[in-house]
Amino acid sequence: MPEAVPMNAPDGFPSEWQDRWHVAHSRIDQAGYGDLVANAYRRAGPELAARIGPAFAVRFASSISQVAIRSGRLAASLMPQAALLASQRFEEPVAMNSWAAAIEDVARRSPDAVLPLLENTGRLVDAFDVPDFIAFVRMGLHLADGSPERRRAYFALESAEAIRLIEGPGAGGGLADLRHGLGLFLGALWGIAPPIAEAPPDAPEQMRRRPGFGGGGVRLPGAFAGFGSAEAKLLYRAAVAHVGAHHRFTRTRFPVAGLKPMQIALVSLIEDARVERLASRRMPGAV
Amino acid sequence: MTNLDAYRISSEPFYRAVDSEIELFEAAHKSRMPVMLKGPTGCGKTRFVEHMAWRLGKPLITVSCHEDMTASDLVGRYLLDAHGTVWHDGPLTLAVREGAICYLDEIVEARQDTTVVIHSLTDDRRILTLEKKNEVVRAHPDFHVVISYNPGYQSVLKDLKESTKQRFGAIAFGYPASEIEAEIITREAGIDRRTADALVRIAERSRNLKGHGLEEGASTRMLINAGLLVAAGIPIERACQVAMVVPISDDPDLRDALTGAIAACL
Repeated sequence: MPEAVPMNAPDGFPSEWQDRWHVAHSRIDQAGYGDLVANAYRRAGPELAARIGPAFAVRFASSISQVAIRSGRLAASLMPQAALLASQRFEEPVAMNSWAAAIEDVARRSPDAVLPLLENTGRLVDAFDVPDFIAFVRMGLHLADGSPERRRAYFALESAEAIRLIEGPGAGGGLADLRHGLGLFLGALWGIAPPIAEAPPDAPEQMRRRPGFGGGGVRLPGAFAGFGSAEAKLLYRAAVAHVGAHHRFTRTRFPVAGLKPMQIALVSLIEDARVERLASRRMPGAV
Repeated sequence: MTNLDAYRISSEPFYRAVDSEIELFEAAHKSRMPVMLKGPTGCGKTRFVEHMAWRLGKPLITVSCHEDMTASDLVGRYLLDAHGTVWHDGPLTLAVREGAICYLDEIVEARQDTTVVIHSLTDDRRILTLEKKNEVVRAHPDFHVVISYNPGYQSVLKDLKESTKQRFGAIAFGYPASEIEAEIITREAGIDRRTADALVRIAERSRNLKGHGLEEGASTRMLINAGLLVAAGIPIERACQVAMVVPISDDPDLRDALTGAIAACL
């Protein structure tokens, strides 16, 4: 629900917010980001205030600053219009705050990716709800780690993995159909809600076939070949239950440097057995 | 028989204390400090106030508040009968005159302009003004007002006025720790401890989804209901569906996830 705005606020800002709005846009005006950024924020601010609430519209100045500093003026100038587009789909202040935080995260970790990401706001918000948008962003940052060009292609929706994610249900079935329910199941079992996404088709074979976690998300195969839908669902559930057990019980990362592949496999096996044994004490039917 | 005999609780309502709530309530009752019981639905607030009324030997008048409730529903109104127009005390006035604990359950459900009638009873005046009757009723020494309040239901439209909140001492309730909750279910539903433990584990899974599709997780009351079904011979998976899954969500994905979580706990 949008924050309450009195009816006597034709420009979207109630009187008690006028001073804060003035401070916010003055900050952008005087920051040296240029007229393009300042004018875009001045134009969009009142509409954002009316749609999402004055608090978001004022706070949004900080997000624009972050993007301007890290990704440049052009990217920052797209932020207000992108926010208006996003607000057509994400109507709650909390959802828009999450959206803005995700953009800031990309600006921090992959500055060049912000521009193509903002340029594709319309397609992305049409395709994703907020949790899926965040999952999309995190997967892009994680999977294309260390390769600016691959990241740019991902956020420009030019890479196969990005296209596969944005096409969503119907593109491949399997995980796409079950992802929402698996997120709820994982949340119920372990009280966590990490994004769940499919490993990209050009990822290494081992990554595509095996469930995994890292970068704040859970990575699952797009489908379990040779299994019917009911069996596949059980496999997916077992996988996320197992990932949750690691999240709960694997407290320290085992140093694998210097170990041979067989030794790493053995250590992993023992750790898998340990966390499953601990999990089964609370949930005997989970693993 | 006095006006309040019907409101006396003759046998002890079971209540398992989880903290110092009994001592706190007794201390507040000594000075008739208005008490607010805050906590999620089904965590034992109403049972607690019943237990305290029995423990203190005081009659208990309970009013379940709702959004159509008016001040007249609380204080009383003139009604026509064979003898003409006669004043009938409402439940609040009865408690004030005769000296009872008046429990206003889920008070945020009532409109704010209704709840202000208790203001003059919850400060040192302890009076109730019956405007239509042109009468000021001084509270009986035993009159004590208790309200319940679920913070989870707060919203701009449904919240207590600040001037109402600040008249009360508040005791916070939550779902009991798992050991205590299992003990309560065992006692209330008449099932074995092992089954009660499983129900509590299932409830914890449900409570993990609060804010992620569920307004509230499964309450202690729901667990007792599931336990009662088990005691009546219903298999535990089916009992959980009936008592803990179907009532709290219509979302097929949520129901399916909860069903999976139940299987994981058994």
